[in-house]
Amino acid sequence: MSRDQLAGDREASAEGGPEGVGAPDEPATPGPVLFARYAYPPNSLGYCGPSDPAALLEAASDGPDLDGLGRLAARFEGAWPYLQLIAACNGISDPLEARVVEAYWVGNELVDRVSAPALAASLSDRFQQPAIQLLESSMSAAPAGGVPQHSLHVFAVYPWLRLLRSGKKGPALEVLDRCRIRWGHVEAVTGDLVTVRSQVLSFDGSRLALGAERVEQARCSLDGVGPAIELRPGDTVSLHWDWVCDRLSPAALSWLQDCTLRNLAAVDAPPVPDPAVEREA
Amino acid sequence: MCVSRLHRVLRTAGPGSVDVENIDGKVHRVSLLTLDGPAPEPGEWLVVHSGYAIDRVDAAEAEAVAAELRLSAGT
Repeated sequence: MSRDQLAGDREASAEGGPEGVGAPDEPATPGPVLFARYAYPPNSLGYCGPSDPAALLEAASDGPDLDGLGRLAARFEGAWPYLQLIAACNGISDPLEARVVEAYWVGNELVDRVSAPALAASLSDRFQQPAIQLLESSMSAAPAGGVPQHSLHVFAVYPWLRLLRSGKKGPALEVLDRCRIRWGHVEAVTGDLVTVRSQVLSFDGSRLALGAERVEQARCSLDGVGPAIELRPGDTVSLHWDWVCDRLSPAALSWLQDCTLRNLAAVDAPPVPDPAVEREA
Repeated sequence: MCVSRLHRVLRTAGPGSVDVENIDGKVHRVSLLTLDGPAPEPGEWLVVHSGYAIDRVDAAEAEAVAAELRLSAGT
């Protein structure tokens, strides 16, 4: 699959409403609700954000409290600065506007309006402070060609690719795969569970890539509580950890694939030497 | 979207895992599958990501970082 093909797919399928995420003709999902759909899975596992996952799940369901959800969203220290960056670079005042939220989790044209220097400066500000570097030691530079979609954070900032490359396998590949936003095709829906076919990440000793397909069981709700998304076999969906987050339009699928491939290429590329270091040498 | 977090070991929680406390006092159980060396003792500081302890941190350095993070969070 090439980037040109993906771009063509996006132009040929511009349906999906202003957010481009849900299926055509569906009402637009408010940005805070969209944020909650993607943020809930790792929050429920205790990996990020405030310690009240039930509030997020309820907010992602019917009758959300958008103001309360906005306050919760700002406490996701991993995602929130990316939303602020994307909004600022696009002249949008609200980081929780649906287009901004979609840009970060799935990808859309807004990510291309974040310049490489702006992205590099943001990552540097966040992850190269001494206190933070102790924790995020793999982040030495913004990878060239990366875009501020969630997979950049997973592939470039997380310690797991560094651990993989150092020979420490363990759960690293699984964490990288489950935490990126992946796409899949629904094969069956049974109550709270959805059977989905998707592609998993592979690792050849140095490079991350998309690998073989697998069939998995994912959640679309918990005891009947969850995002109000009617799923049917044949739907294309986005997944985060073991949850289905949303149904994807063809355009949204194309953006998610494109951003994922661009960020894989960015972290797989050989590191660019620091000019200052080269001069000293 | 997750970030690595600093945690202090509270107790062993069975084979291959420990209960830890983050700088806000919240307790989690984390796996030691990716941590080199002997099992950490109560009071040791760890870097934790996505439910796994991935590194150890010197106590003095950890206390300094925790203080800085608490200060920047306004807590």
